[in-house]
Formats: sequence, C-alpha cells, structure tokens
Amino acid sequence: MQDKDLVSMFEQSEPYLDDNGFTDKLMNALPVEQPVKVINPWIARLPFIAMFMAMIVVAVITPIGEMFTNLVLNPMQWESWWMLAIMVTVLIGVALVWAYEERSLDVST
Amino acid sequence: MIQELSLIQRVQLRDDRHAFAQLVKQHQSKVRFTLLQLTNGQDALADDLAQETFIKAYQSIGQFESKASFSTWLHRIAYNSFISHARKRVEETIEYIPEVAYEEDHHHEMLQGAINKALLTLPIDQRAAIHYGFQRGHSHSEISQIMNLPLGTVKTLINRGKEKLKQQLQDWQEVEGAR
Repeated sequence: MQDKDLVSMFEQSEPYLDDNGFTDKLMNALPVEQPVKVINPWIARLPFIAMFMAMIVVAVITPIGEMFTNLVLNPMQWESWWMLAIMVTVLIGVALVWAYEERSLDVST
Repeated sequence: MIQELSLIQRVQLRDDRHAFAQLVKQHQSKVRFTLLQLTNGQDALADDLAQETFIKAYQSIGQFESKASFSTWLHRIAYNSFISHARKRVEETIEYIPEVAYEEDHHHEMLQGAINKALLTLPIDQRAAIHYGFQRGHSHSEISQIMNLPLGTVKTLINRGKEKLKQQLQDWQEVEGAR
C-alpha cells in the first residue's frame, strides 16, 4: 500500500458533520466582551509612517528639498510654492489612502 | 482564503460576532471530526472540546497572525484542548462505533469503521500525527506547530504510525476484496 492510497482512504472516509445547532450553542456561550484585542493600530500604520519618512528623506536629498529650502529662504519664489502644493497634495493622498484602508476593514454587516 | 481573512479581520478589529459565526460554520465539521477521532469517537466529549476550542479561538483571535493558516492555528488550539483534557482524565477505552449518518454508502461506513479501528491501536501522539498528516493534509512542519513537537519527532511518529496503519488497512482491504 502506497502513501497516496492511505491518503485516499482517509479522504474518502471523512464525513461532513452537520452543524445541528453547534454554532448557535457556541455563540450563546461566547463571553460578553472580547478580552483580548492586541492589534496595535500603530503596527498597521507602519507602512504609511515609513512612506512619510521616505518622502521627507527624498525631499531633503533631492531638488524638491532644495526648492523647499529656497521657499524658506526666499518666500517670494513662486516655483517653490508650487512644489509645496505638490507635496501637500501627495500628503493628502497618503492620508486618504490610509483612511480608505481603515474604512475597508470596517465591513461589519 | 481572502474571504476568511476578511472575516478574521472583522472579528479582530470590530468584535464582529456574525463574522465569527461564519468562521465557526466553515471549520466546525473538520474540528469536530478531528476531536472525534482523537477522543475515540466520544461525540459528546468531542463537541465539548470543540466548543472550548472555538471559545479559546475567539478570546485569542487578536493574537492570530497570518503567518500560519487559520486552520492550522485552530487545530493547534483543538489539540491543546484535547491534551489538557487527556492529562486530567485517564483515557476511557470504548468501542468506537461511528455515529455519523452516511448517505446510502455502505463502503464509506465500512471504510470509516476500518480506519477508526486501525487508528485506535495507535498511541495518542501517533494517532494525532497521522490524522493531521493524512486526513487533514497538513505538512510535517504544520503538524509540528499544531502538536508543538520537533519536526524530527513528527516524522518519526508518522512513519511508525503509517506502517502500522498500512498493515492493518491492507488486511482489511484483502478481507473486503475477498467478499
């Protein structure tokens, strides 16, 4: 007898056990409050925080950073304001994606 | 799988009992059948342990991470519940008569009976390892997680149990074939 024959015999032998009120009985026996909730929201947000930090690093070491510095040094330079607007837009985009992710987890019926 | 993950997240983040009930419905048959085999067919005991398993799962679902499959995680809880129970009580040896209703399939019933009888001759740990490996199709590493045993021990348990089972089931096949 091969292993596959044994597997096949086991597979054939397993019945589907009808629920027969098992779930209802269980749901009535569940504790009123769920005692353990260890999902740390900050862990879920780590990718977004990492993205934000990366943006800052990129902004500092690229021309965007340079333009941002110019904005501080020379507030009348309109290109820098454009760049600032783009950065703010990106940040809002990240915030919206974050909010969407949070919301998409709330699918309770 | 995605559906299952979504249900788990709903329970973890929103304490959604409706989602948990759906998870129970998806897994109850397999968990109850596993416990039925581990407890020598004592269906009332198996169901009590299954209830305990799902309550523990609900209470600690916040700790579930998707590293292992939900099924493996659930079976680990079930196996621990069974082991805790077995340590408290000396195991009663009863004749295993399956009380499961089969639909007009005598061969099915005979096969189930033969497997149960063969499994009964194995020590508990071999029986569990064989059940998880052959009935549930878990990998050796998953069985090692479920039973909290080193991988080498799991392989040894399966090999020893497998040889005994093969011998007994082969005998059964020959007798059945001769009829």
